[in-house]
Amino acid sequence: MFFFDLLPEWMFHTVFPIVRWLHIVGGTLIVGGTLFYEFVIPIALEDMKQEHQLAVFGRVRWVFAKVVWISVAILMFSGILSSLQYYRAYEIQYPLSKPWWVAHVILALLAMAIALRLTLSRRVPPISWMRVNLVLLFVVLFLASTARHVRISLREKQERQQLRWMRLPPAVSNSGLTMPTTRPAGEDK
Amino acid sequence: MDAIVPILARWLHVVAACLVLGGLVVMRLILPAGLSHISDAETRQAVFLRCRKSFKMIVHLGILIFLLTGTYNAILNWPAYRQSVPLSHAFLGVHLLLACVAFALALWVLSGKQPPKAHAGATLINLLILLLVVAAGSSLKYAREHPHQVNPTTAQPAN
Repeated sequence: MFFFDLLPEWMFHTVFPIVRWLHIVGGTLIVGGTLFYEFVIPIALEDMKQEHQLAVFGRVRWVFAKVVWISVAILMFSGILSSLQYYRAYEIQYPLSKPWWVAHVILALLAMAIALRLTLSRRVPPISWMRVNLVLLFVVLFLASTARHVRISLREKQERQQLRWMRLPPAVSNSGLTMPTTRPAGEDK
Repeated sequence: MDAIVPILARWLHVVAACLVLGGLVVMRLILPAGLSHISDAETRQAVFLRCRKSFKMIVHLGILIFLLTGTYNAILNWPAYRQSVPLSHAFLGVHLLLACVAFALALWVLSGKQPPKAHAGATLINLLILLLVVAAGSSLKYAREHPHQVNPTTAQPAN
């Protein structure tokens, strides 16, 4: 039993949309921020003297690091809550979706570790690491989209099966065969 | 193939949101902090305009991706949205309406070679609107995934 099993219905349906929103906002901050930090700002500064470039870039890096830390905190918090919410469903009801979710979590942790390592160190990191991290973040987003698509497709397929069963003649539906369930005990509220 | 296009459409929609929203945060909050170290106003303005030019291209491309993938996603998910009426339609309406306002504001702020006088305030307002757009979008997704819970009166499954 998780803590959200104890939540009243209305609170459950308030907390989890907010958690989802936080997860998306955290993702947009880290992905968009990395792209700008990596590709846009260096191009804008290339005509300046090197000492000015370093001064501006150092200040930008300092603020960008704060954005990365906040994003990582938001993503970890909302990611853990979302994972707890869906874990039993991945285990019991949507096993095909689980590998995509696991890959999403592992690569996301790797990308966040790289982002923290690059922003926590005092030295300006090599540019190639930021690029690798940006590609990694795009892959993480793709894995999340795939996990969600598989989960929703499976759920809708099960619902269609259930509807077909309900439309069978009473002689068949009352024959003692069990109807496929759409929401086993492990499913979220 | 049936699975690839919806996944790519969703991924592109989220990537475009990341680029536009993340870019807006950088342009409004991070870049000004860095530029404050440049004492020469002319150089500061030149650097800002170069960043703005790149950001403009990203926003224009982002709007195109939003329109294409958003239309595709809405058509694809329409039967599922019908299961959780009226919540899904309320969230979809707010999502679309606010997105149109955000697009218009972004196009106005980024039009011309020089930004309008009120660009800083308008960019901040646009950032808040985009956060609301994401909130409406994620709530729509939640309502779609929990049709029987958020509206127990609907019983028809998706096609």
